[in-house]
Amino acid sequence: MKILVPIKLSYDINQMKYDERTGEPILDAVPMIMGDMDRCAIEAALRLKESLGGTVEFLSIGSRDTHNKMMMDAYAMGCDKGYLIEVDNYKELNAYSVAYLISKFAEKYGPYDIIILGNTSQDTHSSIVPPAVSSLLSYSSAFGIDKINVEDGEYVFEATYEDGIYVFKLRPPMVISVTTEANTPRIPTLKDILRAKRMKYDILKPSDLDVELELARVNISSIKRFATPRRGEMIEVDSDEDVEKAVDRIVELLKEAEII
Amino acid sequence: MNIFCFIEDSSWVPVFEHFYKLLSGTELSGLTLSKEIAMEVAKYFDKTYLLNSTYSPRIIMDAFKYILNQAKPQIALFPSTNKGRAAAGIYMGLTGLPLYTDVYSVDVEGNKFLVNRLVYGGTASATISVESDFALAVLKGSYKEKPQSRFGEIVPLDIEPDYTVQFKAREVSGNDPSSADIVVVAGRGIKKREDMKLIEELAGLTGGAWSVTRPLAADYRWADQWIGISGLTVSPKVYIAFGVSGQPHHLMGARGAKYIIAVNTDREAPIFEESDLGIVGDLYKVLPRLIDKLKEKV
Repeated sequence: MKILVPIKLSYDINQMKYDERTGEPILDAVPMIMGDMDRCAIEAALRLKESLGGTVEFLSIGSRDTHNKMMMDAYAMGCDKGYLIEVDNYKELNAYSVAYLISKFAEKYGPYDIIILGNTSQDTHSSIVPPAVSSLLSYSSAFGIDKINVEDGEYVFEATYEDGIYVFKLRPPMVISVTTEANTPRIPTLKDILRAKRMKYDILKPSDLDVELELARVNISSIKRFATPRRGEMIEVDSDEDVEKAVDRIVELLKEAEII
Repeated sequence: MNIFCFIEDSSWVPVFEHFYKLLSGTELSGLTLSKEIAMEVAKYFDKTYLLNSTYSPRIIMDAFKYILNQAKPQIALFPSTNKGRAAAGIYMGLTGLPLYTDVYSVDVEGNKFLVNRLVYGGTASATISVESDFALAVLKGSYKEKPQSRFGEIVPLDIEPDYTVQFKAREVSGNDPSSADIVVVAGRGIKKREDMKLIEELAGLTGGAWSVTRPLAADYRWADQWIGISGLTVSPKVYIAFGVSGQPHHLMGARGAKYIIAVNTDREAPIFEESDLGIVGDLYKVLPRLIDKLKEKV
């Protein structure tokens, strides 16, 4: 079985920094990492390989300078082969261009039995690339998967959405996306990390994939810290009197909001 | 502009109506997956496509292929929910149109639209300039405007339902954070499962609902849903949190609240930066006293 895991280098939003004066993000100061759900996608692929046999390949879009560490991380987890599509200013690519490049890659280097992605990236959290890849390739699909089971060649995927639980039964070829509920990604050992450092990945250009159309980019006119104005009233509670004061303020606010 | 919507349920009708007006729509069509919803929403749409099947990506793809063959919508709107995002992504793959999710407003500037969307875990807003045609997955604000009556036709689609998918609806427990006026939220500051009774009691006394942060649901299994980017997004009048630190992924689901009240022992907890009322102190002192006080009133 041949599995492809497309991964994205994302801003670590837990470490976002903003310019106090302009409210603009200081992106140069924010570390870039492989997203949590991408790690779960690799883990899901490795587990399928371990139980059913096959190979796990991974793919990213970006530049050697920024992506090298993440590519090594994927190897350290146990992937067999990596590819990087080099694109200038890759951060500006729109979601369609990303899905299009992945589908073109899968056509040329596949066919893949299963393409597994993280359900959402760490920074833009749109969840739209996996379904777009599925419709570009006309593969079966299921998204936001929390549980994976394989029964007699049939894959059973469980996903929890707003209105309840859905169970999808699919056969390859297919595109799926997983959440952080799907598994706990393995942590590579020092030996794995050292082994990964010797691994090489293939570097391609969009032209190698017969991509003719101009890759569409996002035309961002501004980006600013988003904050609903809040009152920011603070009460420090040390004594019993403070507790009374805090509770009274809560009750007042509940009245103001017409809750009580 | 003819505008096409994926109508997950009827609660999205006022939301789509709001964006239809912002985008100067002239014709409104939509796809639903149940006869019940179709009957309800058809009053407000010029055309309602009905595919009577349980949701699956396959069904959505078949329906979109059919609809795109009939008429190419200039703008497509989707809910920023799990199914809505998947449907939007499938639509993007089929059409090649630009698509933005987590959209909360749109401004018109000449012949361009300025789309405002949340990024970076909801901590930033990006404004993106787009021209027709495009697709948006929008956030559910609370729009009060009454949708315009259109009394359009219902067009049943002749597509085989997906019999391979199984669906188990969420149990209706009476606890619905999505529609409550006040949501009482427990975070990791709640030490034992038994203490959730206090959270539930406060929700009961205030006529609201309760919820938790992701670790309490996913790791401890104290609840089957949580508030945050991978869970529920709520917009109550009051969101009151006990022992919630306020990680970006959680706050993204809570920012729609009119008032945010937080009780936490850690003065540096990020939630205080986004609170209307922040109480630095022991929730085990504040919460029981608050419950007593409300009982006195009742």
